[in-house]
Amino acid sequence: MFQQSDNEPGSGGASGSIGPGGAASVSKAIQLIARREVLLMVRGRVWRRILALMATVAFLPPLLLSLRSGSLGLAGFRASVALALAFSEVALPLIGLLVGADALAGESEDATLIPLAALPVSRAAIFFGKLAGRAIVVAAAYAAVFGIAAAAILALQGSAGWRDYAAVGAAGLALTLVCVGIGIALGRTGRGRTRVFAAALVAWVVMVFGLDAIILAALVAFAPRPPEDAGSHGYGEMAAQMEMMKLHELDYDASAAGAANAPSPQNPARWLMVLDPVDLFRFTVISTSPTLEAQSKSWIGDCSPGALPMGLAWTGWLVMPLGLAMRRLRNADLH
Amino acid sequence: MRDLVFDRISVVYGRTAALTDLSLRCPAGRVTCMVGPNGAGKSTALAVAAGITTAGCGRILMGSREVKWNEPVSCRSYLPQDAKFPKMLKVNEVVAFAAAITRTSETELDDALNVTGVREVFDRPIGELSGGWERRVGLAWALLQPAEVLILDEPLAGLDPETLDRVIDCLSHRAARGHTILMATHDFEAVERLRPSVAVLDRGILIARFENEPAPLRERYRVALLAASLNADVSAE
Repeated sequence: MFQQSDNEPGSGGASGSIGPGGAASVSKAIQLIARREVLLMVRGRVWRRILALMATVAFLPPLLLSLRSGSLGLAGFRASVALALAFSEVALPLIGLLVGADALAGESEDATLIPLAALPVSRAAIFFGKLAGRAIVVAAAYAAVFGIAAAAILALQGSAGWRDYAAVGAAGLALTLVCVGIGIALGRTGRGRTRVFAAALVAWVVMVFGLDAIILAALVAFAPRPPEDAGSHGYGEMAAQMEMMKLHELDYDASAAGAANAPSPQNPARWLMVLDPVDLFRFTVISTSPTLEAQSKSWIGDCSPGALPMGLAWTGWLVMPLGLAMRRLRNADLH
Repeated sequence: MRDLVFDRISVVYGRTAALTDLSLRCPAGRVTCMVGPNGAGKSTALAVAAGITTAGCGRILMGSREVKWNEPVSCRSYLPQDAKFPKMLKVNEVVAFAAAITRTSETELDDALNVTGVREVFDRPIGELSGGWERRVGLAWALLQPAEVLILDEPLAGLDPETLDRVIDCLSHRAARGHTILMATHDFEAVERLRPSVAVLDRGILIARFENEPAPLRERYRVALLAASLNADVSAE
């Protein structure tokens, strides 16, 4: 698994400089640490739990929705997308946070981090190696599970609405990786696993329920008056309508409702969504899914801040927690 | 050839001084043994030298160059007091990982494996090993690295007599090659064979230094501790 170099005896650090010159290069060290991390995850129990949770997220929505037709099977992409969105925004952050939280805190608690940190590699290389290993495992599990689900739906129900489903899948992977980063930032060395997992659960509640509710309430409160043909609902009903859209109006046909091409005024509170990765995920999916975008516009106006701001927000959510976590590891006293 | 130098190192944990103004030169080509009662600050001193923990003040030098506390250093190898490795990994994976990171040659790897004898358990997961075997894996991890400066925290603890002899011979051989070896130990009889330079620590303070003494190390150690205790009593009065 770990390839040994074929250099001559004594050509290593023994006669080299004090720095890491005699050791593996930074990229090689990151690669080796990532491989080690992949092995640790795949051989641990965490891997099976991740797969089980992801399979639930991928298969339960089409399975549940197929029951509406009276037989157990898989519903089509278009019918499944809203429920898949709702499942993903709850489950994927939890998976990401727990996977990330264990990365440093687990090794710190098991005292396996000290021999690793004493090797002639920078702590940044250790950090990026562990991050890469975890990201590879999570992304591979995600791609496998959602890929199998998508292939099964395609075989049984055809390709109608596949773009919407693909949007949920791609943005879901981004959300999971962002949450891995946030989890790593929460999982400080020197804290036990229990404390770190508790912090991850608190972060999950804040992201998925607390912040999400506040931002949705603001979006509804600042929603422009809907067009006449969208109905005469009061603004207070709009939040409930959003939830109904997810859970009941699954076969909503945007073009038939005439909402797809209707110009919608922009919601002034739309920038708030960048404050919560879960909302960022939801609106990324909505803005790339024609069906969901039309539904959303008809109730709370145009909420997309645009591709560039959303891209910057995703980058920020990825970079900031990782930067914080790396800084902490670099300055961590491991004794 | 590089001396390892502690230059006025102090470490404080909360209100407890773990090390106070420690200045010590560990010469290249010699084994330096750090001895002292439990809680004397030996492991802290070694962790500072290994860059695992930071000193409140003072500096560590290797040769003439100051080494920052968390700087990766290829010429240094460190065995922590209670070295642990991930339980899911096999012994050969742990060893190969360290060898790949440090670009160890086949010869150096073979030497370390022969000295520690861990080939016997090469295909077994760390989680299935006894404490003694895990200790040997830790020793192999530290010895295989092509480093000039070896910092070993109780490397002889828990070893059977045959392995102990091989490890002592290995350390003696490496010192003869000009390597700098700093170790914390309580095993006076074993280390006497290395003719070490000895530093006695008590409550974070270097209280005595002796080398090539004719008297047994244990006796010298007891005298040093007694003298330090008397000095402390006199100072208190």
